[in-house]
Amino acid sequence: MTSTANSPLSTARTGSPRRYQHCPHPVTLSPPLSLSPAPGSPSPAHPGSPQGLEEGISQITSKSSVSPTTLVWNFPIDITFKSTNPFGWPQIVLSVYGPDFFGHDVVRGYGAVHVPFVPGRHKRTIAMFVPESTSRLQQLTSWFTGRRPEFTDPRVVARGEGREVTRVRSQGFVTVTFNVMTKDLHKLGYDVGQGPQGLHQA
Amino acid sequence: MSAARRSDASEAVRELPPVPSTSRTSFAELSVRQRMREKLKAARTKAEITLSQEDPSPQPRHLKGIRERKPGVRLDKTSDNDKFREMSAGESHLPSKVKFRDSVKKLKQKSTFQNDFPSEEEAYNFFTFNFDAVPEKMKAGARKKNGLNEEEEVEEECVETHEDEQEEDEMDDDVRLVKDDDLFIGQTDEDLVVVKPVVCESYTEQLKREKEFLFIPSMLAVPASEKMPRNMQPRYLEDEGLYTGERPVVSQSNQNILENRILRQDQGKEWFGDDGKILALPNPIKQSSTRPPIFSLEEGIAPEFETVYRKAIKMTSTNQYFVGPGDFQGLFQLDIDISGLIFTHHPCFSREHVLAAKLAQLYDQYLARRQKNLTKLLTDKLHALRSAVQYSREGGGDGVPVAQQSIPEYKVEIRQTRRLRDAEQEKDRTLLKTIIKVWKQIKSLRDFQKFTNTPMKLYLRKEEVDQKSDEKAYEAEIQAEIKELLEECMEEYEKKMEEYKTQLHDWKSWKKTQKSKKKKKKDTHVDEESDDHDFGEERIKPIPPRMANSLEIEQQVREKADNCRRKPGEPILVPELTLSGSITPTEQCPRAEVLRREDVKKRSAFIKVLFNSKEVSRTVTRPISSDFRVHFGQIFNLQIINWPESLKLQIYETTGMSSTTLLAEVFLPVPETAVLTGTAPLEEVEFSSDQRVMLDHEGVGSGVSFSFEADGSNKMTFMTSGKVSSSVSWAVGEKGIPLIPPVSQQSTGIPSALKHIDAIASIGTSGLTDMKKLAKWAAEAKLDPNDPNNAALMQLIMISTSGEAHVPDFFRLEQLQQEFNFVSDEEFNRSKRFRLLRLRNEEVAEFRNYKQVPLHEREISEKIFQDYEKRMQERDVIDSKNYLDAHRAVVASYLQKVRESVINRFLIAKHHFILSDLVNEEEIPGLGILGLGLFKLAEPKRPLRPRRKERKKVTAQNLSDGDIKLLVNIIRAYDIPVRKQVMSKLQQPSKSSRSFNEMFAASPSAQSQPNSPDWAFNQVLVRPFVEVSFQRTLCRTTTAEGPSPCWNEELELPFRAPNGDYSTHSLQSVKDEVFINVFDEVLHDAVEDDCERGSGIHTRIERHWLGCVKIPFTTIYFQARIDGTFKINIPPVLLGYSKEKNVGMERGYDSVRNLSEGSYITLFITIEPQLIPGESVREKFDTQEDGKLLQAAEQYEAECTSKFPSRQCLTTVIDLDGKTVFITRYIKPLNPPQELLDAVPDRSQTAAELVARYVALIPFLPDSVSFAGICDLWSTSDQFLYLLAGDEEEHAVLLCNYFLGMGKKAWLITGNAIPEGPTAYVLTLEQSQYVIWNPSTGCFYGQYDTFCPLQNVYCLISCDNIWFNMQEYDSPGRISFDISKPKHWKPFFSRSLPFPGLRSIQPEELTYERSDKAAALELQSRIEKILKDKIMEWRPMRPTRWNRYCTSTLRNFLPLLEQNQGKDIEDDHQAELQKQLGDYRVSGFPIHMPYSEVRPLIEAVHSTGVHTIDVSNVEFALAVYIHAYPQHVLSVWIYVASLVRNR
Repeated sequence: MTSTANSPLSTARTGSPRRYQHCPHPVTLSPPLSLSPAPGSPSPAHPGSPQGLEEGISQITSKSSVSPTTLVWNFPIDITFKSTNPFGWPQIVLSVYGPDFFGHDVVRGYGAVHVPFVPGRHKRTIAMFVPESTSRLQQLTSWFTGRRPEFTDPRVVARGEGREVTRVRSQGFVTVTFNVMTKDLHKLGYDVGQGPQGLHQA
Repeated sequence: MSAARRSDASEAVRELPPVPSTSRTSFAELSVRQRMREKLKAARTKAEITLSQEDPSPQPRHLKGIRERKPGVRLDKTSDNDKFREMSAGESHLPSKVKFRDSVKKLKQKSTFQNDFPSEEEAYNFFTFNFDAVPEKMKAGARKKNGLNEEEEVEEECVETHEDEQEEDEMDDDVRLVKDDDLFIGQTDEDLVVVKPVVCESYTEQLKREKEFLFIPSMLAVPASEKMPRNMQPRYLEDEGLYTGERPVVSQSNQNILENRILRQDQGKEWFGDDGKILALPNPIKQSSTRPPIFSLEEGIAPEFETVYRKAIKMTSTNQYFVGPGDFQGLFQLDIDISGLIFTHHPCFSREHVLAAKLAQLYDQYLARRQKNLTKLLTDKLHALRSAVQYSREGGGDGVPVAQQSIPEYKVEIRQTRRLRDAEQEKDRTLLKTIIKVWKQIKSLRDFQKFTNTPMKLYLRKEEVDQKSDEKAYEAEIQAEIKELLEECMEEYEKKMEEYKTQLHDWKSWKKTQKSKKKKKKDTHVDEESDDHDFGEERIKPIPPRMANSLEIEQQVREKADNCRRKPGEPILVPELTLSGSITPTEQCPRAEVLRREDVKKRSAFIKVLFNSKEVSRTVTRPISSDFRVHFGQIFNLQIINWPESLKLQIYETTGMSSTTLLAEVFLPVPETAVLTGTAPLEEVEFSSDQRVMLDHEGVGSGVSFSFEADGSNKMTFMTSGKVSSSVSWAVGEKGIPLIPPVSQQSTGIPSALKHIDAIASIGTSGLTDMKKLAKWAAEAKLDPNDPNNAALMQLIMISTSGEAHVPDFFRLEQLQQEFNFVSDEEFNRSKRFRLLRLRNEEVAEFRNYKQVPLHEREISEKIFQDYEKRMQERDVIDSKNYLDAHRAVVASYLQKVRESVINRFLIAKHHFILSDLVNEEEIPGLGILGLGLFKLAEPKRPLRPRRKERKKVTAQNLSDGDIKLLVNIIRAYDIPVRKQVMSKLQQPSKSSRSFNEMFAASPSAQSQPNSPDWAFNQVLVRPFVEVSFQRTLCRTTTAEGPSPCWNEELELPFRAPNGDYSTHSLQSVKDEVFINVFDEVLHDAVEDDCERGSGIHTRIERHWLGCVKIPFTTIYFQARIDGTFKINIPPVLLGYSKEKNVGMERGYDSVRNLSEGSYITLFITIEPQLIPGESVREKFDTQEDGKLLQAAEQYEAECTSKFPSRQCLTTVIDLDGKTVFITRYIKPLNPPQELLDAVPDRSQTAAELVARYVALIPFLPDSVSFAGICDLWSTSDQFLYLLAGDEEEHAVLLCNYFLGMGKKAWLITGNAIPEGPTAYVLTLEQSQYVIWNPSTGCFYGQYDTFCPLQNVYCLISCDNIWFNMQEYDSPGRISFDISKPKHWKPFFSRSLPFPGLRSIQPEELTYERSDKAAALELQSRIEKILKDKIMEWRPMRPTRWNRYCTSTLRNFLPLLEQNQGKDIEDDHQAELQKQLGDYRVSGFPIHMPYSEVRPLIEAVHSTGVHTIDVSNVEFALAVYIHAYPQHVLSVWIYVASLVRNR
């Protein structure tokens, strides 16, 4: 089966608008967890194995004067997954970075969402979050130095494992629109139901 | 009502429709208003009529009336209502205001029963009606009442006019009368208007007045006695155990106010409950809010103002069967199949029909009985019981109490069964008889009426039986019964007899007393009466029971048997009912019958289907056939949304064209959700009707009595009845989904109760089966046991705790698993695909990186599992083939098992994360670092000074084949052996005897060999090059010249991970080694023909192996880079080569001499890109150590590491069982094998060397290979010797223990060495000199040895203490090993923490198995054969010839080598060889290895490249010698040589 997700990353809303005056925001798109390192190499036990790049970076956006807390990327991504087994359905991991008060690039949020399996157009609002500092002092120093706590691997957010040791703070939302097409899902015996607009074309 | 609304309303009266107001009374008001409007209209018309009737000038009267009324107005003071009354009384006189009268009348009526307050209607009337002049009057009245001046009437007039004008606008058109007001005002007299100053009431006065009519309830608490009826104690329901819900929270003061207020009311006490509190329903507020938080997407709009599109939804009905809009899933479908209707009685039945119906019924009964066959069953049971009794009686002689006891029970059982059987048999027989009787009746009826109406025919099939056997069985049965009955009677008799006896006894005694009394009486003349009385109680003499007569009983039995049983020999009758008879055609029937038949033909029936009491469909009308069956055969598909409440069929009968009568209603059960179309069976539902029908023809009618007899006796009455055969089922959708609405969960029982209180959320589903847990939870959650919501749960808990219900005492793991299984376990195990997926998920090595598991079973080939299965099988079967040695095989399998268990442990540990695994966080910079940073700023800038830049590290998982390269930089070598001229004069170096004193002489002996000048000249250059082989990939440098060549070349070798798995875990267990071989390139003149010599050069290049360095890949992986000078492992004998021995021939610990001892190569090895080595597992291991000790150890480690972060401090290690053990427990003096000590008894130095060699001969196996996951497992010495594999620690521990056992002073050194990295060495103190031993090679070095592989020293460990190196430097040459100085060595156990006397975990004594020479010999020949085969295999293109002579020579030579430990025999040997193989050019060397398995031997031979020689006439020689040491330690010598015949 293959499923193609064409998802313009449309908008993001950030938690504290004040600090974000004219802040460009790059976004890193890490497609799903533990995918094959590169095409052709042994792939892990997960279905999605996209061909080509697995990680990408979007353009930098800055907030508009009209709505000061909304940042628009409208950044299209095209991913195709192929698998024979729906175990470990692909996810999209987003990490948003933006400069802080001193101009350091700091992480503004991590978030992950499963690629919808129902064909059609979907809109997903991902709540973004960042790991918290372990102490007040750490928080202060990290604010000064611009080295906020980050996940060792952004894919952590797509996994449940080990998450219990982290404490996070929510920071805004990112809206992602998916246009999903699937092929041969039905043939392989998977019924995902009807799409929102009846775009089921199995 | 406000003024605004007033005007509004009055306008509305005129034309506007009533504006819906927002007030809560709007609806009531609306209706009131409407009513008022109607009334108004009525009144208006009435008024018009009356007006027209009345005289044209009503005004004067009107005025007069007003005037007359005035005093009355003045009088009213009490309330508005009174005023009204007065007003209306006054106004009733006014004929002109007729239209007003009506309403007033009504008011009056109202006021009679409502005395205090105006009703809503009145109030409304008051404000909305056009009380023509009344307001003015009232006003006037009010003013008058105040007794004020009337002078200012003009002003007032003005005001009034103004008001009137206003009113005029407001008034109805038809209320023309208002116009009169103008007139009237114009003529007003002064009395009407009163002028007064503005009255200003003081606040206090106002309050006072307010007090009069306002009631302010007090806030004080009401005493309970007031709230309760008199003489009643408050009753607390909760205490009595009744459920009282939680009351809503109301503040106490509010409550008090409310109570006070209610108490003032009539019957206020009704509001109080028995407990003296206001009645209240339970708090309806949910504990938690169910509304999800709103995330607004639009900026700037408050979320609550956002418009949200919602689909129109249907109102949810309160009906439980209604499927809510939320779960509307489309239409559901119910299929109702109505196949037909059969009348069991119908008015049009003829007599024959009645009988036929009866017969059919009986026959059905018969069939049913036959199917059940109770008689047979009971007979069998009887037989079984009898035989059981028989058996127990026979066996009972032994006195089995159980059997004895059960006999009476059996007997009772037998009696019961017999009774039942007899009853059944009788029933059978009577049924058969009745059938026959009815059939006879039918026959006689048919004969009588001379026509046939029904096709019924009864056949009686006779089954003949064997007369004799039947009779026998019959008789036996009767006899058995008689016997039993007799027994029974006997028992009975005995019992009665017993009774009789006691009674008789009683009677006799009584008699006696009587007699004695009589005697007394005679003597004393007692009162006669009493005597009479006594006689009245005269007892009857008991009658002895009658003995049962066996004949009588037999007669009884026989009679009964005759009655209910088939007679012996009588054939068995089997009735068969068929419908094969012919019906007499109508023409031949009498008139009455013809009429009947015609009537039947006229009749027809249909059925209505009612769903939830609504007719949804009906069948077609079908005529009733002559046999009173109606066939519909229709299926109705009901598409429904609601869950069906009821399904009803109504059966209608139509007669002729006109009348339709409802015969009966039949309710159909709503099918279970499992009943689907196609599987539902047709069911017959009986119905009957109480209709009375009398017919004037042959039909018997219904509800009418009739008789079959001619004389009209024996009357019968039948009602219309019948059966509808139908089936109801749920339809199945296109995709096979049943179209069943979800059942709204109203089901009682545990699940729903649990759902309400959400026990699952709190204790998990598994807890639901665990009653104790559930009960505990219920107790903890403070469930109110009286709450009806919890009833089911409480009952469940009660039952389970009281033990009434069966509670399983086992715990079912994942008891819901069954529900979630998508295939059965069998199928799951059978399926190759699932197996593959499962194995991949389990990360089984073979499948860990398996990509794209095929979708279909057939696409998976069986081969995939072959390897895996083979491995699984081999796990338990010890295959000695691979190991050539039974012991090794056992050890290998044991090791494998240990490895697996350890790996499993680590796999689990690997999934334990700590914060630093997931989150990168900068450490807070300490003051020191800050200071250092500042200092760095001040540092002078030196741009030219080169600095090492850290390479980027790559996580292993992103890699694939070809990404990783091994970089080997070969820089230079020292002291490469040089060629000897073949025919050169043998140098015989003087071999001075070595003495201990000499060896450890502090200063090197300045003994120098006088160099013969020709030696220098004769020296042939060696042309060495280096070949690096890794994973069978070869790479070589260019050829350099001379014994100290300099290559400075970088070689690049690709790296492939096993199975393409580049995870850390897999990389750690790579077993490959990097072989760095040094070769000499020799050019041979290959010109065959001398005459060609002038014209061309034809040389052959030969390479001669000189030595090698082996570095395991794991070492490189963990070290990241290896940089240093390594000793080349040069074979003890290199034919044709010699070492430069000019500097020093003497061996010893001296550094200068050591310089020349071996050849060295300088290397730099690294991996590109740099890999991050796996982190060690931080699992907290079990331990048996004292907690305090561990704490101290941690503290000690922390202290040491903080001072010298680069130095590792080791205090605790993990043993083979995965337990933390304090390190000193490993050190303990142990006895070396006696054999070794015996060999060299006197020379302790030699003995030490021998022991070291023995230890070095134990194969080396790094932990990281066996236990991937980087944990250093330390095995004890006995384990080590048993496993015969271990890494540096085990070797070092064993060697140290041996040295201690030999009485030396020895310590374990932990430190850093090349190439091993962190490792363990042994330090001994030999005659005030410290000697460092490398346990894995058996070599020893002096403290100041330059080429000592140990680079850094961290810790010294003895059996009772640990010392940490606190000196500035840590290279062995620069430190002092004097542990007594705490400044240099920080001890673990000191005065503050004395050594607690930790017991060693080592065994008391090591026992050794004696060396097995025979096994060694066998192994030797096998290895030799394998190696020879291998060499031939490696030379597939050319023949490989073996020189037997040379082989035998070499074989003889090898034991010698072993004896001398490979030292100092080279020249002897060479000379000998030379002598024996004079005309051969021999190049070869012995390889010495410890033996673990064959593979490394093959690798070693291969790496020498002997087989690569491609001279045509080359011959080979290969000899293997294995020397067995105790405990299966084997030293393997392999001598490989190639021989080329000299021309």
